[in-house]
Amino acid sequence: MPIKSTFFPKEALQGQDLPSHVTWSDLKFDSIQIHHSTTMKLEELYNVSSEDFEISEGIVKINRVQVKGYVGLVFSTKILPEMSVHQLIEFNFIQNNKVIEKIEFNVHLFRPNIVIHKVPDQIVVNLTSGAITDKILVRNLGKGTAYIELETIKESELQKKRPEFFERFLHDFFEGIKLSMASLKQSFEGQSGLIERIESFLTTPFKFEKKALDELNNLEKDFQVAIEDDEEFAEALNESLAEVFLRSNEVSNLYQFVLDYVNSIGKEKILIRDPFNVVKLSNKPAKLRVKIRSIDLLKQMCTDIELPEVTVIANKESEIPIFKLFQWGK
Amino acid sequence: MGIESLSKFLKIAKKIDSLIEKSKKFNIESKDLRLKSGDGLLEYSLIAIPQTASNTKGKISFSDIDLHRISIMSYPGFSENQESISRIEGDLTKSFSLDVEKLRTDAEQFNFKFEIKCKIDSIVKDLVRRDHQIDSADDEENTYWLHAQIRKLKDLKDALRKVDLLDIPFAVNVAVHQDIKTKFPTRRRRELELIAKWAHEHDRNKKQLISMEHLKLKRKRPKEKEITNVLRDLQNLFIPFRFKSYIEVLKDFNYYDCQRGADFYDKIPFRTFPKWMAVISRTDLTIEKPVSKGELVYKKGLFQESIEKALTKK
Repeated sequence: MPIKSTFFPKEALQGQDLPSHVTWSDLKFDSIQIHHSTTMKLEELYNVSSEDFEISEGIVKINRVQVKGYVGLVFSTKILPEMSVHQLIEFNFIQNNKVIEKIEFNVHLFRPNIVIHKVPDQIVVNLTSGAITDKILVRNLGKGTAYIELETIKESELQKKRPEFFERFLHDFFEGIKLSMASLKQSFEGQSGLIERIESFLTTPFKFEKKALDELNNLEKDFQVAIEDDEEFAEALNESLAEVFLRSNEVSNLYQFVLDYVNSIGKEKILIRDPFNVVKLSNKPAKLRVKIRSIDLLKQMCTDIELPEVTVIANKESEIPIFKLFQWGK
Repeated sequence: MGIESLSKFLKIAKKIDSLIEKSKKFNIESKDLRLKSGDGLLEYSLIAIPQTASNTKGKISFSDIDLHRISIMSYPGFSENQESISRIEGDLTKSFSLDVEKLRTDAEQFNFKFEIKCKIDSIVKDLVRRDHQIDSADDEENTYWLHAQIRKLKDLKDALRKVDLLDIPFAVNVAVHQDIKTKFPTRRRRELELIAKWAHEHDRNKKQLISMEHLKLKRKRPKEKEITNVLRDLQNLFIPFRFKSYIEVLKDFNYYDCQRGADFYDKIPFRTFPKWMAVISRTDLTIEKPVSKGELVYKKGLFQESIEKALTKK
């Protein structure tokens, strides 16, 4: 067999770059023609000089490779109207106008798809028994993971806020972070730039907005590089964060954080940011107006969803985590 | 800080070649490059034949080049010739000079190895395109594809006889959140809720009522494992040497290490349990094999069984 190795991803998030290669030996051909969906775009081509390939709609034609036996490509993809599609990619080695080798790939491109399935006119909360009827049903119909942020909009009578214990924790946590990052900077001078960015990121407010997500993306990439290259630094950073977390907490709060961890994970690959945020209910009906923001694991923003007004009725005055008014997935 | 691109390396290599050639004491037979990602080093290796008519006296100074180390082997006999190397301390550079007189006179061939510090991430980015799967569509089994390919094969092939890019690192975030969630029973969540509520309550009477409710819950299953032990045993699953047993890296990649993944989305990292584990694997590329493909398999079922055990087994 002249074809030695081939690769195209079987599945990927919509918006992710797709790498590909073919290697061969003892194969004579006039050109390689790659047929791909027009929703993909050739991003990079390896081992082919700029005058030796042509691009037309959905076709990449390679007339010659530089070093025999290898061609490498990267296609970019974008978010599609369909939440899940299968696309075919075909590599044809052509000689004398005949296909002498054909390689086919099929890639599944998916994304999360957050939809609101049910919004009741009113939600009744029994703060004594913990019963809540009817909840707002949010589903992720797509295959991709979705990170959700809940916002109460200006017109909402019920406004989300952090619970008191969490404010206390945050105060101590921020102080702890500053001290611990300063000492980490001394031990890992080469990483001081990254440490400062982590410190600034952890101690300033952050929302799912384009600029902040781009910054987060860059920070995560650099963090990834640091843990790939310097395991000692990665370990020290992890330990420092864990230590600050423990020092900033009353032991009893740890149970609360385990609970928040469990509560932050919904069914259907829905992850909820800030599950600790609460709204203050009283025995007077109050209007709730919520906006749902979501991102996928490439930090691409999905369309914001603004929910219709809901009246929340409680039997007494108390705080309740806002996520509890929702059912996440089925 | 070290060099960060192929073009910078090639400039240094050219300088080294030119110093050796200008000395008129050796003919360079071949040039090899080895990137040792794990050590942050590029090793430029030359096979050189002594020129028969040349004068065996004199020194070759590499003072302009920031070198980490030089080593010399002579053939036949495979003997080291380190006594011929002396260190030169510059203001900003560290380098060496080679005393030709101290080399073995009967050697037919020398292998000079020049080690140069490099910025691994930058040089790997310049030489290699790395991609891996970010999210997995399958709920049952999680396999993440891994792919690496050389970007500048022709440049490498034109300049060098042999290229070994070793231990190119790949960090992949493996999602574990759904597994803990799926296995964490509702009654255990209720228990956590009661403990947290008790901790935040200041009213003594209300505290008493919560305690009673907790006791009632525990009486329903008197033999159930203590919640503190459950949390401890769950935590232990994320210790790297334990978690690695749920990971298998296949084909051209090898498992190297794993760590708790960064939960930057959550802003305040839940230091309780991670949502992701960052698994680091490595691969090698050469001119003859300019691509690597592989798979990282997360043994979800096995991990869920361990969560089950951590939740129930005393």
